[in-house]
Amino acid sequence: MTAQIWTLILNSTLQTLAMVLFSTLFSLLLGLPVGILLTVTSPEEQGGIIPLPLLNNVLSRIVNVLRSFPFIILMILLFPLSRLLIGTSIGTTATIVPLSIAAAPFVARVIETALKEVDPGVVQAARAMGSTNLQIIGKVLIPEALPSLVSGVTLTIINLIGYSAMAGAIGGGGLGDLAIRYGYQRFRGDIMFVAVIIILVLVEIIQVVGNTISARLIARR
Amino acid sequence: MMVTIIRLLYIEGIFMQIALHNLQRTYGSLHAVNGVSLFIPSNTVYGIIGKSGAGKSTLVRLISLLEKPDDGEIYFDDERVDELDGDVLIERRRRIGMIFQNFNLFSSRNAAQNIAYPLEITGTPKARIKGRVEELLALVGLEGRGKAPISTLSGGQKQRVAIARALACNPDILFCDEATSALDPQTTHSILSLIKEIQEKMGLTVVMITHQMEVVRDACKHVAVLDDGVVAEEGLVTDLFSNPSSEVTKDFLTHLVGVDEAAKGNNGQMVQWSKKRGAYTLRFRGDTTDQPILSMVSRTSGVDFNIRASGVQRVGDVEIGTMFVDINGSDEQRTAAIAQLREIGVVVEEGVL
Repeated sequence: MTAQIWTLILNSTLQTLAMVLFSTLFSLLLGLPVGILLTVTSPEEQGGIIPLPLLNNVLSRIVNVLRSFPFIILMILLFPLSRLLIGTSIGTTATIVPLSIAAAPFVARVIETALKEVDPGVVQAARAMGSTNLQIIGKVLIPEALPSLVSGVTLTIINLIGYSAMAGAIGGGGLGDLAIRYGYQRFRGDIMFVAVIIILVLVEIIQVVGNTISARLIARR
Repeated sequence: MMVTIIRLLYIEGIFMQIALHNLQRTYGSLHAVNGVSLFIPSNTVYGIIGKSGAGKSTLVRLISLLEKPDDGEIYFDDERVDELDGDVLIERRRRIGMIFQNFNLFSSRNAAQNIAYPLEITGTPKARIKGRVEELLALVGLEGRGKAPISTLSGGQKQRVAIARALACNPDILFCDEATSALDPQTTHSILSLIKEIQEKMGLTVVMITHQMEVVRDACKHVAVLDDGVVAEEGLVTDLFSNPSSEVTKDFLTHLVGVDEAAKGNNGQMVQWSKKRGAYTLRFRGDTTDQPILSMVSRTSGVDFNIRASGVQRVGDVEIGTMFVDINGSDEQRTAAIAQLREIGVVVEEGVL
């Protein structure tokens, strides 16, 4: 493989990293509040501190609908939004929009699951001590659920690496794009191979780092 | 009306710290708390005992202001608190300490950080928090253990941290919700001693919710027995032990004196003489436990006593004896013997639970 090809691979890797980084940030920004809302508005038996059945139901439905969309379809549907926000629907920057929106409902569920694992007795104690709802969320629910939250974010990042590769198929750039355009369409098996290996290594690194952080947090308790 | 009564009592010097008036709480068709009225005096340890399902947990959630009653009123001093809402409710909760069966400590915080939590949420300056936490750690006998992660502490130590946390904001009331139910007997004893010591030191009103009669015996001055969502019996612990009136109280006492154990052949606190439990229960109180009552009565009335099991236990400062006996003789002799026993001050009950 020529130096030119290697430069191409490096650029694609950086594009993938940028897509994953920013879509993780934005999906967390969107998903975290929804996940918290889903938890605190759930019925009291499930640990909800502000039970609001109607809001909880509506939110839950929206999350489910968004989650059941195949990513490719969602991405095409979101082209107009990308165009509105970024000015184009093609390329790495434009892809961050559908990636973030596709991952947000997943993040919301992951956060919800993690927060609901917090011992209801501990939340009751915090309430009995006169905590405000915001204090319960910020000083009890999130710190108590932190190891699970870290695992959830790890899972999200790994999912987003997969999604970003798929986004390559419709002009998103990154390693997926490289693998399809060079590896598949130009029969460059070696480029395809390298792209897949890099994705594999990325996933592995994220998983190990995530597991380590989560385990450290638990060990400190 | 209620307020007037409370004011009157206040003037007479019998200050009511907590007053419950006809509390009701229903879940669906279940009347968890069905008309509970209680006066819990200040500066004392007050027990609320009941079996599971008697309505204890609901009652404690109501008086700790975690839940609102469907009907009825709750007063702390002469302030009505069951209708509080928003910031006022949160403010009031901050002056209540509470400890739990499962400790409910924050696993994400170490011992000192747990104790600091109530201070943090009330906006205490960092420098003051540090000193106060040290003070509280010393109070519960955990000096130098502040940095310990919660998972490294034993059950008793966890409950000590929980007590320190509950006391951080200088509460006037401490609720103990089955606080010793997850602890072994020795640890239970040390935690109860600590609670009593702190009660005296701080002049707290302590309310202990429990299903263990031992806890009531060892720690409480007054007790209310809860059954099926209502108060079955209420009064001084010593009175309740020497002269229980409700079936549920007698049942609690029977289990306490270890009849069950004795019947199984295990030596509990009772000395067991016979496999059968006897036809009568005699309860002796205070100085009557030191007198040769049975032989006296036996001589004058002509009956024979067959002692099946008996024992003495200490309730606060008073000794209370329980004895299971058969009384053999003619009907008149038996009636005379029972009358004589009652005259001396022995409580005689037919049958053994």
